[in-house]
Amino acid sequence: MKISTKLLVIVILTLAEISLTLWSVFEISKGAKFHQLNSLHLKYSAVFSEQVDKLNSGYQIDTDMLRHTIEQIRQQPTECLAQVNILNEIIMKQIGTYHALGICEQDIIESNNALAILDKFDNKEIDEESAIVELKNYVLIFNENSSLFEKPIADTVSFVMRTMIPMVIFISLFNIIFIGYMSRSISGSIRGLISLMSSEGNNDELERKIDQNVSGELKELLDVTKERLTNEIMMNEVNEKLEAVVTARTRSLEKANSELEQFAYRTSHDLKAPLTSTKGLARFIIQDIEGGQLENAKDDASKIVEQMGKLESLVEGILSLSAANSDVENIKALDIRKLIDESKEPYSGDLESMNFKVVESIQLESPMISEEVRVKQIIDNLVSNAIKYADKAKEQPCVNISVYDDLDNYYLDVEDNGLGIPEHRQNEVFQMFKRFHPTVNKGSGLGMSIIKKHVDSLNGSIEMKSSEKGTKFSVVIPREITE
Amino acid sequence: MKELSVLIVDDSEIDRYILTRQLRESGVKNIFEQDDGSSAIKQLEEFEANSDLYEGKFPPVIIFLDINMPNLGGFGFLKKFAEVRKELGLESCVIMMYSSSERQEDKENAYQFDFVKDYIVKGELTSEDLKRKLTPFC
Repeated sequence: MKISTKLLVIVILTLAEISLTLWSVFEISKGAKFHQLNSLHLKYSAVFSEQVDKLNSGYQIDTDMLRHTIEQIRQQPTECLAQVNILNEIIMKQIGTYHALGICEQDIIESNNALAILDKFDNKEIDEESAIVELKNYVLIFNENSSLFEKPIADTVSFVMRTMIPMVIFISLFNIIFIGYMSRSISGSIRGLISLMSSEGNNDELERKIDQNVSGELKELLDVTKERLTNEIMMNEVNEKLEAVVTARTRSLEKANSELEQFAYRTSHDLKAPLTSTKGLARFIIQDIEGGQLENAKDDASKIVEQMGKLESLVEGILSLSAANSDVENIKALDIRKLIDESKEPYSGDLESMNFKVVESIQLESPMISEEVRVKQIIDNLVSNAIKYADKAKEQPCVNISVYDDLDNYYLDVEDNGLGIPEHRQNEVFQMFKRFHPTVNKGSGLGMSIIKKHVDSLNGSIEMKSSEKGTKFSVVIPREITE
Repeated sequence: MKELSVLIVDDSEIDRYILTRQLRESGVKNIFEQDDGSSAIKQLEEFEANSDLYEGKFPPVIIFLDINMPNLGGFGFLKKFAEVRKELGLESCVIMMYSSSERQEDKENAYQFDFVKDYIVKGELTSEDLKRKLTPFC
């Protein structure tokens, strides 16, 4: 049963008890009222008897005074009948005191008859003597009615008291017990819930127990609390996740910032180096021309050309890097063979002089669809590295380029038998401005970081295996998902 | 001018060429070159062999040191040199930084080593400057 229902039952029982008690008091007081009316009836009967006695002693009949006394006598049974309700009648019939009401009615009729005698006397229909005889007779009747009325009323009142008081006591006791039981049941279910909630054990078991043992308002309270807690926990989780995201972003921004600083430092250094060298060389040329050493001047001039070439390639590298950072997104079907040919072209002279062998294998089920600029720069840098860092000590310098695909990815492998990358520096390969064979080739040190940026942009991956025997780069680029 | 021996440590061939020519113009005849910090350390470590090989010319009195080099850069060299210098008793050997970096930070880092006596910015060095810098060692 719900707590509110239990409380309602308690209220109804209390109300019933109070009304029953009040009703009993009212009924008992009504009995007292009847006694009082009967005393008044007796009193006025006595007055009437006195007045009639005076007539015997030779007084004149004062009809007005007598009529007034009779009317006062009649007043008591009239009031008595007006007070009686149906319930009283039923009780009186049950306990055999109902005839008291008959006495009242009879008394009213007798009073009316007495008044009629006085009327007749006034109209001179009867003489004084017979009127007095009649009136004496009514004195006896009124007195008798009063004494007859007393007993049934006393019986009725005592019956009401006998039944009502035990009933009130009984109901009060019942209420005390029942309300006590209800309170225990309410506080018991609250205590039960408290011990259930503070018990150990996992949540599923707890929920099962709650479903079995808790109902009504307490269940509602639990449900609402649970919902609120769940929301709060969810909010906390969301906040924590947001914080983690912010922290990660901040860290990546910090990293980007420090990379950028490093980049600016290295770029300015590497851009400046060929310029300062050129300045020194130019001074020598002036000196040599002045001193007539034209051969020397010529040598230094060709060194300037070399420096300028270096500067040019560095600037190109930086431009490619910024292209690698920006969104190129010109997706189309690529002619891989053409891209490989283009990558070899600037080195055609070197390839011939070194007797360098290039093996190409293109096995694509379908043409590669990707961003041309990025794929071109990946191929260009891998192929040119293989050629630039060829190991002249080896009999036959060579590079194997193979391109193939499956359902998910495109694969580009470039394997050479060149100088390789020293083992202790292999982790620096994809960093900017890293050169591993400065004496062999004056690269900008940007090539591999350009490749890495392009591969990342294409959501791909690149791996490297390198030893003195050579280096193998394996690039995996996922197919574009066309919607 | 006394026979002054110097060592140039720089990965840039062209910068070594420029400095070499300026040194020759200043009258320095014994010039060693290394393209990397680690090979320069190695050369110093092989002290006895080189002393025999280049009689009277080894060890160098001045080392011109670049900062940005691929394997062992200038600052890495300075740390190792601080050890090697004590081991081999090269206390008379000093270092002049020779870099294109004008960053104050780089200068401060270099001067933390008491044997670094000068910081030359590439491209700003004229032959006259160089002669003046070398005078105390002649």
